[in-house]
Amino acid sequence: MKKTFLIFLLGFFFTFPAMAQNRDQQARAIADQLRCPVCRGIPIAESPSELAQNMMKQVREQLDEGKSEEEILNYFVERYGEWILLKPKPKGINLTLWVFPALLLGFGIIFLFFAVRRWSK
Amino acid sequence: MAITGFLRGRSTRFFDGGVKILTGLHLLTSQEEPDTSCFVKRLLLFFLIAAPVVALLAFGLTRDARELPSTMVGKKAPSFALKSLEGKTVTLDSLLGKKILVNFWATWCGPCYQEHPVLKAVRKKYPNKDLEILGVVYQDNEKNVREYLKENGAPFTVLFDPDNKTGIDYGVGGVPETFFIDQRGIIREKHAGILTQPYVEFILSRLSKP
Repeated sequence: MKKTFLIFLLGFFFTFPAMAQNRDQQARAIADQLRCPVCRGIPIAESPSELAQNMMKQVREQLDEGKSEEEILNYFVERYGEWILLKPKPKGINLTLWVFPALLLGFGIIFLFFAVRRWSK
Repeated sequence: MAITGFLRGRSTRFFDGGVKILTGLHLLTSQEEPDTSCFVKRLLLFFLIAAPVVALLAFGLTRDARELPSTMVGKKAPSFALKSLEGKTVTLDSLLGKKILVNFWATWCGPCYQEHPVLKAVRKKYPNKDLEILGVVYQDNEKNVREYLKENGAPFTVLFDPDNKTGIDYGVGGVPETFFIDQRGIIREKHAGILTQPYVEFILSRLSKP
């Protein structure tokens, strides 16, 4: 009885810091995706501005409430618009961002292929 | 061969070919008599490639990058319970039924100072029972606020928002930012920047319509 309790206690002490670490890493991972509304070019995780710091706090609090990464990102998108995401979602007009470079690369390869063939003739 | 020729500044067939196909410009400057059908083809190709790029740049570069979309317009205003300067807790729910103007401001904010008289004029014009004006303090302290209001007057109920909680809930990115909330608690307009009296009156007149 005493032994199981001890094991439980030990387990608790070992997992507790791990959980805390996990939460901070999680918060950091989410905050890395959110644009700082003050500095515009950097994520809130790296911004020293007070608003970004408070947004970080908000992320941590919502994680503590048990919200998922997606829910937290949605919370910010609902309020600040999709603009708040440093990496736009791959849908609609945004798809050009994903498709265009690949298309360009494809065309470039085809172009090079014919150019080289003509040149080596 | 082609690459080294290119690096030395000599034009080679490979390099020339690429540029020619892409621009067709050599045909405009060429001394030789161009083959017209080829010329038209290349010009067409040039516009096919250049036109979308120019259009994209024209669209992207003429927009104001600092202007943020108003995603909160049309949504239910996030509820809040904030402490006023007098120490009373003010909730959004308790104010429903009136038009509500929520102004995020700070004493360190220049544009807020400029729009202060506008808010005072609006406060004077509309009776208290029809319009509530809330001034949510953004990243500032009570001492500054008290001094500022003693000097400039208070057109609004001052509320403190620790850690920007309500500000973030409203999607505020800076001050001044103003939200117009109708009698049912729906955000009907958001304005970032200095308010003018005609603008405020226009928006308020729209709030009375369903």
